[in-house]
Amino acid sequence: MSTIRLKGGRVYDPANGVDGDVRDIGMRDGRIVALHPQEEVDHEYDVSGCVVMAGGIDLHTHIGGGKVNLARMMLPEDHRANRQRDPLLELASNGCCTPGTLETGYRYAQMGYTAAFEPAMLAANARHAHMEMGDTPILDHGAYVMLGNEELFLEMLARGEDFERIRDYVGWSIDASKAMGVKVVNPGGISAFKFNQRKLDVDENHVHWQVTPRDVVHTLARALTELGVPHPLHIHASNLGVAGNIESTLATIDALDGLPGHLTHIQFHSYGKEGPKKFSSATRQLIEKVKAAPNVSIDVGQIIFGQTVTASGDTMRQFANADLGSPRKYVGGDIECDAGCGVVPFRYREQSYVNALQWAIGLEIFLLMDDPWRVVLTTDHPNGGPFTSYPHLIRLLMDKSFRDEQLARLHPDVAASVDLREIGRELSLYDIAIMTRAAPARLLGLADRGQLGVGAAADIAVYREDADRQAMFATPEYVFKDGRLVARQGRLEAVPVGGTHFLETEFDPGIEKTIEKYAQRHLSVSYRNAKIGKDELCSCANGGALLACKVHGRRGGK
Amino acid sequence: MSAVQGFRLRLRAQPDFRVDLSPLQPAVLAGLDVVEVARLELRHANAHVELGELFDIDALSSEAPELRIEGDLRRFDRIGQGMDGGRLSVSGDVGDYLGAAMRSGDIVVEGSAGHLAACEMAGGRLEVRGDVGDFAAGALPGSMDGMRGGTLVVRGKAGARCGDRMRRGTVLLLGDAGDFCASRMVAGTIVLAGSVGTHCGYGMRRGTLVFAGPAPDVPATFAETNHDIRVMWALLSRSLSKLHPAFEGLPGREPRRVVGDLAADGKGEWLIAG
Amino acid sequence: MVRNDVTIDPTFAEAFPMKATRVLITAHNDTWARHAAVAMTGFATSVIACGCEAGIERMLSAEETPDGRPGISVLLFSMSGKELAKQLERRVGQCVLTCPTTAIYAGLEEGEAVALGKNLRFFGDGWQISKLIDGRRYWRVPVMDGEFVAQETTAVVKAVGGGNLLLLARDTDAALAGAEAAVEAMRAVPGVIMPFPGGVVRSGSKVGSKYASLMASTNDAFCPALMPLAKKTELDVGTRCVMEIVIDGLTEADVSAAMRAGIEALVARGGEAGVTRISAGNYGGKLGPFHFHLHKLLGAEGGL
Repeated sequence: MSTIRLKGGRVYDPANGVDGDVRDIGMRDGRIVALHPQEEVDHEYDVSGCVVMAGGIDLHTHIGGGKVNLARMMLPEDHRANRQRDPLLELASNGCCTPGTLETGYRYAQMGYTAAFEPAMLAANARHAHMEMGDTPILDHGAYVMLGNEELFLEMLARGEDFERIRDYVGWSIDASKAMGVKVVNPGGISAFKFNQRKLDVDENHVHWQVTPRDVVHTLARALTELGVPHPLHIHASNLGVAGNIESTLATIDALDGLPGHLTHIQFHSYGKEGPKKFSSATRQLIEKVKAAPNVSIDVGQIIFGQTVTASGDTMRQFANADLGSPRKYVGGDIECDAGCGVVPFRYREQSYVNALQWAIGLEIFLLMDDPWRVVLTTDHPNGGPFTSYPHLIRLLMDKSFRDEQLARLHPDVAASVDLREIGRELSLYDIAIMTRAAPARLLGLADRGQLGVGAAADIAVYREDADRQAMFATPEYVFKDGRLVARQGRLEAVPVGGTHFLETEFDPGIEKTIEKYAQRHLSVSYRNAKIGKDELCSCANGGALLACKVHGRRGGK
Repeated sequence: MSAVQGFRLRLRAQPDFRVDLSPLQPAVLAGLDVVEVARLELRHANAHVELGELFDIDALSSEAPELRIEGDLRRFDRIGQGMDGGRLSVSGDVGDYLGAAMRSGDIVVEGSAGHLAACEMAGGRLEVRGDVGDFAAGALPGSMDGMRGGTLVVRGKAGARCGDRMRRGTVLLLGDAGDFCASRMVAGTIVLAGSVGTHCGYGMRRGTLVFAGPAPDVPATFAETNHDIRVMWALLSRSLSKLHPAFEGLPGREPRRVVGDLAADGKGEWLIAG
Repeated sequence: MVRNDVTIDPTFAEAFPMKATRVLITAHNDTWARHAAVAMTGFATSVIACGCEAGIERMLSAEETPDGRPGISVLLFSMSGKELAKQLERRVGQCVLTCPTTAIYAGLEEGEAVALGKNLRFFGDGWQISKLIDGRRYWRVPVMDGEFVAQETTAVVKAVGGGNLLLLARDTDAALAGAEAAVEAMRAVPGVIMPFPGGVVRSGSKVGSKYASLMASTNDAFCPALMPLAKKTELDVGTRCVMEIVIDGLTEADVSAAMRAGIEALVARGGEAGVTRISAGNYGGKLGPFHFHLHKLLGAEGGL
């Protein structure tokens, strides 16, 4: 295989502490290697005047599974515009907030992203999610399996089953669904919705199972820690979008009791109920709490004005939001009593007080959090806005005057009062490299991704320096995936198949008897079909590489 | 100096693949000359072709923006799509999406049209002298609403799902309608001089079907109302009688009225004047 | 100026801008159309306390109405578009919606749209349906006799209110007979109504009062009883009874035409019939922009 040198770029590699040093990067056989300056290479790219970073990693983006397809069906108009495309490499695929699988891969790669993770894979739907991600070209991918609302888990928790059994069940679930981590959505709340509860606070009992979201969060976080799962419990907390939900968010952090947890799309969970509209920013409370809790990491879920669609496992909250749909459509669903699904198209408007404040809250979180290693840049695609708006978001974070320009367009009450006005901070390229590459890689336990050290995978994005950071990040000069040039100046050069990240857990297989009994009694699919084998994963993943991730050796108990 | 207002396009030879004719908007072309029109790029399968490669183009001097297209255009889709003003006529048959989402102006097709003619049409007048395919005056796949304004006149037959999800506007159908006519209709008026296929009015929520020809079989999910509807009938039938000679006699008749689809609120009506 | 022994004063009527609309009521027969119209235009003599001034313009034959039934045309005038909309909704809701077999339509095409059936439809409790025909939306509200059909909106236009004629007569009999004849002639003019009872008002007013709370009070200059008492009187000893006809019209020309028709009717009857003088009310020309000079209405110096 070929040897490549990127010559003279300014390198931002936070994982290795490199902050804008001008140096060459060498690649051989898809890996980063140290090349002697005189060593002959097959291709040398002069990247002086460019910024070199690892390929972007999106650790929370809805790119596969049932709700993504529902969203596509609900917004047919999103797919009708005929974009000019490369007739040789690109197959027909369209959409902006509900892109097709191909479009997803193309657009991510053209922005310099090389990996994306689906955060809400239902165990019962895992095959479909993997197939859909396997159909997404170029990107490496993985998914978090949704636990914490399924009947079996709640039943075990309710009857006081031994913790070890629950831990084995969690380990089995990750293994069976070939997940990269575990996500809990509205802990216990999706199930409570089916028992006619319309809200569930952190210390409120599920009417049927008599367990609280606090129990669910703590049990899952403990199970993951003992299983040695690198990615902390991925938490979509209680009361998403509700005014005053900061209480639930703080209580959820407390429920972790020091165990690792990743609070996702935290922007949607940082609302107070002060002010004339009983809706206010609770950013300061949140940041204070997160700063003091080193076990907690977050991603933001920034909203971007315009049309999008909200697709979530949180049936309870999506049902509540159904009337706000624009266009006015709603789909809600339950899948094998595993979890839920709610899809509502939505248009974020600058002149809406609530939307304007949501926008400001998201940016405040990015700018007030002092440790970029615990903040990941996301829009919760497509819930806050399509991933294609990342370059715009990066400019908002790096350019105070641009931010002020946008701020002036907001609902006047918000524009005149938010803390964001006073925040002068502009993130550096180093900060951005952390939030979009190094931090997500570290949080996911990807040892050889999100960094440019020798031996790492050669996923590299090269951006031409431009004072307009939006233009700079929208169209990288070169994008390499595993050492292969996949995009140049916004045009695709190759469309390789991405690999699948998944976790190999260890658990007592005795738990399978419990699961089998439950499946026979309650489920429509056979227990034997629940488990995805490696060969099957390979075929689901379109023949892409299987990137197994080992658990930490931290397993406790037994 | 009199600016060119219209063009005559004569098809020279059949294209290899389907061609998207949506750029041919009379009001837009009115400001161009023959050379510019000949250079218009059209989508031809996955590639592009210039208009001049497919058609002979002459300027027409006319009072208002006008396009006359001559030839068998069955491989040409989206004729008059989104059209906003002017006059467009076609001497032969046309492909799919004829007059889709048109907003104003006048289209006359001497032959027959393919599927989705007048789908999501919002205004203007579209007349097809031959037949139309499925989903005439209907909705694009996935859309909430079909036709939402204007008038569609079909002298021949219509395929299945005519007026599917139609929301507003008027359809005059002089020939027979296929199955599922007015399915999921939201509102608007469809006047039928011929017969209808099965499942007429399936899931119809509101809107009016006027049966000027043979009386249809009334499905079980429709029910008769016996009240005096002469006021509304006078308003509606007088308006329809002016739209086409075939309906001149309508105001003199006293229709039966049934409402349905009871499975979808039952606020739609059939006025059976046959 | 004297015509056929009737003296026509060299004065003018002073009128004001108003907002107006026309609606057409149809019914199964003209009796029921008239019932609705009479009720709808009741208690609508003066904007001072009625909210609007309204009257029947004329009966309509079946050929003239949108639905081919007999009908009646009604005009409503008010000082603002907002008040007019409120009065229209109340009066149509209580007097037309309620009246058997009626339907109601806009009687004007051009102008600012105000609700006609648009809000009344909610009486249908969700069973109402609408129909858009030739660009006009109609609401169909199920009621006990079938369905009430109401056009969604009607148009409001700028109009002229307060044109007037004062009839100075020998005695009460002569005044009434003259007023009746004049009103009859004026009703034949399209676009106008005479909103007072029978088209005639006997309590003509002036601006202001000795009582601070009153905006207007009796027109003492024309009260026979006050001839020897008032500071200024317009009357002579032969005048024992005065009556006024007030005219609201859609346009200035309509009001002119109606006033001219009234004067001509009185002149035709001659001074012998008892109406010996025709005058008009004004406020010195300072308050209203429309001035109808009686002499000019008769074609300046010529005519008759």
